Amino acid sequence: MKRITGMLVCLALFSYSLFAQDIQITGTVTSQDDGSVLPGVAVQIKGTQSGTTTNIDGVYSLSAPSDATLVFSFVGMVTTEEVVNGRTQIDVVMTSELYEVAEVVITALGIPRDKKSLGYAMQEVDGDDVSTVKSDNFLRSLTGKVAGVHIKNNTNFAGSTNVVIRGSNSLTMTNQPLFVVDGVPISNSNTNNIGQLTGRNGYDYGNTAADINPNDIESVSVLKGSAATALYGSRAANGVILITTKKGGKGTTGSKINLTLNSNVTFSTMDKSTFPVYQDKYGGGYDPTWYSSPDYPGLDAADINGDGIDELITPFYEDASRGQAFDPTLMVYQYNAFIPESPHYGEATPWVAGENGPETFFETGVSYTNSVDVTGGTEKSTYRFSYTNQNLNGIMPNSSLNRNNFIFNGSYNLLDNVKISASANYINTEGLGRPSTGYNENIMTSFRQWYQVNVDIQEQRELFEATDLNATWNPVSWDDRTPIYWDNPYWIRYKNYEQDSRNRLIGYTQLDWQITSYLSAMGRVSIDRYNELQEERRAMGSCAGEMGVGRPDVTSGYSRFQRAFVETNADLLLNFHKTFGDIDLTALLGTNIRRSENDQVFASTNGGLAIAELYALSNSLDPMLPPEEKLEQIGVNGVFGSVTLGFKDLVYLDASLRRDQSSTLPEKNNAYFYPSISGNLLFSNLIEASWLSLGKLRLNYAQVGNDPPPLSIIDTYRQNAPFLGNPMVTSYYGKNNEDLVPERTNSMEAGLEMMIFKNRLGFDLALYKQSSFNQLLPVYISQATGYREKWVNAGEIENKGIEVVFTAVPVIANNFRWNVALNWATNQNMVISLYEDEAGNEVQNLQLAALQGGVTINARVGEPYGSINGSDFEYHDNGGKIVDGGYYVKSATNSEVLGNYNPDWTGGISNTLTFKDFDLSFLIDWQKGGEVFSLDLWYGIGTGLYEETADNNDLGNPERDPIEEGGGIILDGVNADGSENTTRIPSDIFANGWVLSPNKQFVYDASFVKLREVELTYNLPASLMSKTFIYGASVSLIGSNLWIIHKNLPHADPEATQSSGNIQGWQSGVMPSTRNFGFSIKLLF
Amino acid sequence: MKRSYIFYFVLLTFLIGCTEKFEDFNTDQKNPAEVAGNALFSNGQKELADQVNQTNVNQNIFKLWAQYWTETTYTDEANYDIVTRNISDNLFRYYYREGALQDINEAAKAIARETGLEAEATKQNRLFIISIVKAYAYNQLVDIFGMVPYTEALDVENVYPAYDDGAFIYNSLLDSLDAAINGLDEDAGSFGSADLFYGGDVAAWIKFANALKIKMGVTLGDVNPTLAQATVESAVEGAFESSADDCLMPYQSASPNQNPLFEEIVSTGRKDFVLANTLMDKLNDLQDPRLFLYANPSFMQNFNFQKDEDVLFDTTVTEESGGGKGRYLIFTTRDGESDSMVYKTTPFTLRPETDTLDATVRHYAGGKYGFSAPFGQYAHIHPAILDPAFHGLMLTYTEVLFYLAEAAERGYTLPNSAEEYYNMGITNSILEWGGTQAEVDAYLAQASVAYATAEGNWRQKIGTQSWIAAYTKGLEAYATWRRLDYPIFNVAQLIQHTSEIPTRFQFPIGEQTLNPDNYDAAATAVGGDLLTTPIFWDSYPATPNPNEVSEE
Repeated sequence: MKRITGMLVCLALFSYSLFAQDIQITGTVTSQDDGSVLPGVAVQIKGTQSGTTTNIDGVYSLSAPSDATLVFSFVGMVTTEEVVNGRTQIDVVMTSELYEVAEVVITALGIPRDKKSLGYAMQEVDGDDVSTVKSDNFLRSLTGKVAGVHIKNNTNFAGSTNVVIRGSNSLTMTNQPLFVVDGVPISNSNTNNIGQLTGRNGYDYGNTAADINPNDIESVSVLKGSAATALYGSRAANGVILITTKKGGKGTTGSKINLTLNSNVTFSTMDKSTFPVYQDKYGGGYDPTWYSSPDYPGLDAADINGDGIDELITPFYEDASRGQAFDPTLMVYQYNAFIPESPHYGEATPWVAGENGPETFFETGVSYTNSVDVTGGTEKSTYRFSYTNQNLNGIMPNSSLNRNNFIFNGSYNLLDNVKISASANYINTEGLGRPSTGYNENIMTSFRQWYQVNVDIQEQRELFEATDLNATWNPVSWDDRTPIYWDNPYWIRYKNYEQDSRNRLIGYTQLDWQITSYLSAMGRVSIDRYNELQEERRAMGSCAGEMGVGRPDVTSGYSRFQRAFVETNADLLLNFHKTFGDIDLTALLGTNIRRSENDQVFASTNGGLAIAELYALSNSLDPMLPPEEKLEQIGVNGVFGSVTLGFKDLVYLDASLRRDQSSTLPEKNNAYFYPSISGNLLFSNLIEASWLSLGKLRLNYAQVGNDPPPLSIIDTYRQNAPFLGNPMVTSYYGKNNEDLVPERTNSMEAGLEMMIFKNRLGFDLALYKQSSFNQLLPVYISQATGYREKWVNAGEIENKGIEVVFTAVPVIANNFRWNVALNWATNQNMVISLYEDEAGNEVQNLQLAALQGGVTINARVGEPYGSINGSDFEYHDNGGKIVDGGYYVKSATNSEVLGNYNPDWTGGISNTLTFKDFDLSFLIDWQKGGEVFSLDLWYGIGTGLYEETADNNDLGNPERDPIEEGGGIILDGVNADGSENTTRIPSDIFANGWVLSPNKQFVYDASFVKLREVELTYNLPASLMSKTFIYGASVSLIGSNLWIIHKNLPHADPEATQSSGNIQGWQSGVMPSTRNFGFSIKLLF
Repeated sequence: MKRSYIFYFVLLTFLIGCTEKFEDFNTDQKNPAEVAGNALFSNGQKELADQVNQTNVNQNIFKLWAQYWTETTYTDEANYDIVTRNISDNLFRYYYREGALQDINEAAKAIARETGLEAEATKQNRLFIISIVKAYAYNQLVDIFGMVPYTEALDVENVYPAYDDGAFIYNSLLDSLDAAINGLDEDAGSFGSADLFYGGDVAAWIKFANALKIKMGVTLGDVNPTLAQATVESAVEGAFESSADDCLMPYQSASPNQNPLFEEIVSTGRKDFVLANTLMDKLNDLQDPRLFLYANPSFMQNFNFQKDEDVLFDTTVTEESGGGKGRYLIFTTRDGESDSMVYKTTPFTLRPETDTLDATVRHYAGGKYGFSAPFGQYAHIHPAILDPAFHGLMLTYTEVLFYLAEAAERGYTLPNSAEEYYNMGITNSILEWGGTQAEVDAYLAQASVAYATAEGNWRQKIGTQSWIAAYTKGLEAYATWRRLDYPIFNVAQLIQHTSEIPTRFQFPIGEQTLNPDNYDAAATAVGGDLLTTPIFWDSYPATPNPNEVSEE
């Protein structure tokens, strides 16, 4: 519900004389709804702090200058302005906010348009809705608010947020939308490296759209289909998130300068429903019978003090909890007995579960957001300056993110019909200690998969603090304290932390020229430029892990990734608008010249560090390997035009055409066109029905093209480090192709929009179907060809779906209003084909990633994109899972379809309740369906960490007891002949978990229902404020992710993942989610 | 208004001008489009050597399958699970793409194109050497899978390469080796230092080609005796004459040119492997001097005798607790000069000779193959093997001697008898691992070792000793076991019988989806794409383990 003071509107600004006489004005304010009088309506003299309110009869009276403007505002009603113009009686009819159907929205290229004239679906979100909840990434705040936009709220602190609009279109390239801020396309890259993306190890450095400061956002428009985005060209094939920032204006508080202060503090705590519940009955080890103690074979025995008698020792080199049953009378030399700084040095301690489990590892994250806004302007100029500082601390020890955001924008009318405007936004982001992700060297992987529940995590902290060493619970042996698999978790947090920074400048200058009343021109040059640095370190004395160039395993090291990115756009736009009788004609002609360059280098020490605690490339133990360098340059020249014809506010027709010429295509095929056509019929203007205030049918068709990534045309080789002075060169795994042509997406959309019952109810229904074909993809080929993949034009993905936006105002009563908005969307995705050669051979599967556990994520013909493949059960005809000897029989291969990561449908429902000066709003969002493979449970159940691995069995006995003592379990399944399985097997690592279980056993339904946001705001009454220098004030209590109302994945958040991107549906060592409670105060001076 | 059109026109002109640079935009400025063939060849050699020598569970598990080593905690690969880690796919990737074949093939193309100072003879020598290295790689691929793409491989224009029959590939490789042997010109140069194996020594490559012929010929012994005999007899004179002819990869101390075993076992700090009881029991049984060269003791226990007492030493590791037998131990007195190593069988009594004798008991036992084997309890890989500069073993004289022993038993006409080759093989092996001639003599004198008296028929005698000598060369040992059906392997935890021990790798899963028609044809032709299908030269089943059924 935005009224836009865009460039065209700005041109209409007019001035008025400054001196006038005060006169007495009275009037009555009524509601258009039912004609009733409205008490308590604020009546304010624009530009001052003086004003009054209507009495119980809706009548007001005040003294104001004869040329003043009165501003009438009331909860749930459209704020109305009346120019006094010498009148002494001014009656006002206020309309409910929903009545306002002549809404102006921002469309592609920043063009404001009357929403009812659009032939495609788009949805707007108010700036307040994305800035109230303070998080590390404003995209999280869009969750559940826009139908058809699937936002995955990754649990990684300051991590990337996956946004997919109307399903995945591209097989191998990005499926994230384009971000445009005030007409400037903003890079939203994700620099997480391939090892991180495929769940090996690394950090989630986030996506760069997170730099956008929610406090600067006036509104967000989401353009979903190709018809809406066609004017942006190929990069908008996945939809566009169009952001309009706040601008200055002539002061509303009477002074020329408006000052707004906003302060927020948020506390984050770990949501225990997304963290393991551990068993507390059995300690470290893989089996209670495997170790060397003859009396307690779950433990080792050795004569460690030389008294000739063997002592009991924890098998602490094992990272599992299926060992000796706890027994407080059993005295065992645990890992701490071998650390001289430990109070238990040299002594045995009772064999019991650790007093402080891994849940005590997490801290309360405290985050502060403070901002100051200065806006102002005159009749000829506007400006806005804002500074925001966000300081976030995660729940992992030693993790923080600090972001400073400075923005200045302004405009100046050089002439009556020429306006110049400019904006500069500088953003500095500093991250420290992001939690690691993936399978390897991730504390969370240890906590969820590989751990001994006898360890007291607080003791790990004490020992780390006492020794400043990697005093791990998991050493090689009692006489060798080297870590075997896992470091002391505090060592990782305080010694092996990463650091990153990004300095970014986004800016533009723009000239608007209203040439005649019907013709205007706009020219703009914009830039988005940043430098980023990511430094990773591993301190001497750590466990070995993959790190640096070539990802070898090293026990210490340092790596740095540096990237300089710049994109410039030059746009020129000519706009024609004239009405000829009943016909309204708008025509547009424009050009866009885009240049971008991505220059990056990744370098690391090799073989470890030479000197401890010195993190410099020169501190490499072995000579450094050649750094990995990449330089990508892209040039695209585009020309476009569009024509809109409106007839009697009844029918609108739109047609557009764009031609792009891209440097990433072979020269012979580098130009391509994309057309779009859309239309709508405002049938409510045909029907005379009082209950129907808006009825609109719309239909559109568009085709967009896409170009390949740079450097996909010409083959090159790769250089390796020399061997004894001999250069070493290797072939590249991808075969490039000099015959590539642009890929295509066709899309169709139909929609129905209605507002009924005096706008108390409204809905917007969209049906769409789009298909991306002739895709540019590196198709996997038999490696016997000497290549892994070959760039081809092939493959097709189809998405079709339904989106519903439903709004209602169930209650409007005296001083009370209840608004409901519901979004619901379903998308069906299907991989139609991949690659077929001349002989008719067809590729059936394209592997997107091979992940730990033998699970792959695939594009598979006949399946939705993001097919999770792995080993399945073997099923009997009666549906039972076949067992052999009591154990599940696995499918012969790992290429069985186990599910896919796309939800069946998603939705969100938000409620806003306004009572007097209180606003209460809450948002519930949900996802139905979609699958996720939990590597955490695949290993963690196997290693016996979780509560359910130490249950009692069907006989009522501890299931881990030997079968002959009544223990053991019977797996749910059938024998080969179909009869029920009755074979009891020991409940050990073989029964459930990675050793013998099919992957399918650990594939879970990713459905959830979450209470996403709750906000309670109290707006201090104007009457209270009028005697102070404060113009307005509000305080808010804000909660986010407070409650996961429902989920089917135990011990973790189904949304948790390693990164944004196409590799989803697999969890390893994921962070728990956080519950956030905050307090905000906003002061307007 | 007119002016704006002019402006537009100017801009469009500018646009057209802009596209002139587009080709530069799309030219890779960081990676070369043209490179020297020698650099590709060097890289191919290194990648091949890395594959052959490493023990990464994702791509080379033959040191496990040869039952030299077993896994400590995660025993999937020792239990013949090649699916979870897609090992077959990784092998295709390594041999065809990342490893030797693609780079060496590209090297050949580049060399054929290159013009300049190199004499034609040098160029030809380089191409012949390339054909020898290719033969080596394809020979391994066939021995792993039975059939692989060969004639249609390495051609990206044909993304559906057909599989060739293993026997056909063998014949073709032997032909190319003959062509190389005949065509190589010892008077001309070749790669020079770019040849990491032989420094461009053409004569050495001729010997290598002959040695490879012997290996391949002997492999065909059961299935094509005529060709086998002709091949071996034609190659014996030209093959390796001493360990100086060994084909080795000269790994370096510094990364990234270190032996991959160092990178995988030492650098990673992981404790994934211990020696398997299959090998350790045999070495213990035979009191083999290589026990101390192949393995490090799992633990040492110091005894400081303060008074004259006998100590009954009974190791805590026994057969019953799941591991290797550990019957033999050594103790070393630490009284200055009289260090000695003595074999003992547990339980035994330490008998101090003086009141203050110190003794160290070292325990050498192998982990039970295919069962969980805690790292601390079993013998470890000898540190010398884990030195970063430990040379990679590609093809050695010792290996050839055992092939010749086998060839002699098969009745081929050779300069020496089977027994002589057998003794030469054992001698060479012990010496090359750092043993002494005295140890050799004592060892050969044992009835359990001497050719005449060692256990079993010639297959068992040669199979056992060639397996011991081929330590760390997993694929060679695994091939020998399949061909000679000895030594007797242990039955891992998750199988029941020797007959379930795999005799080949299944084709890559990727081939099922990326090359389905040819995959199907090959699966049929090879006799079923199963782990237990014998490949074309494997005529007889392995000798069953007397303890057929594994204990679990």
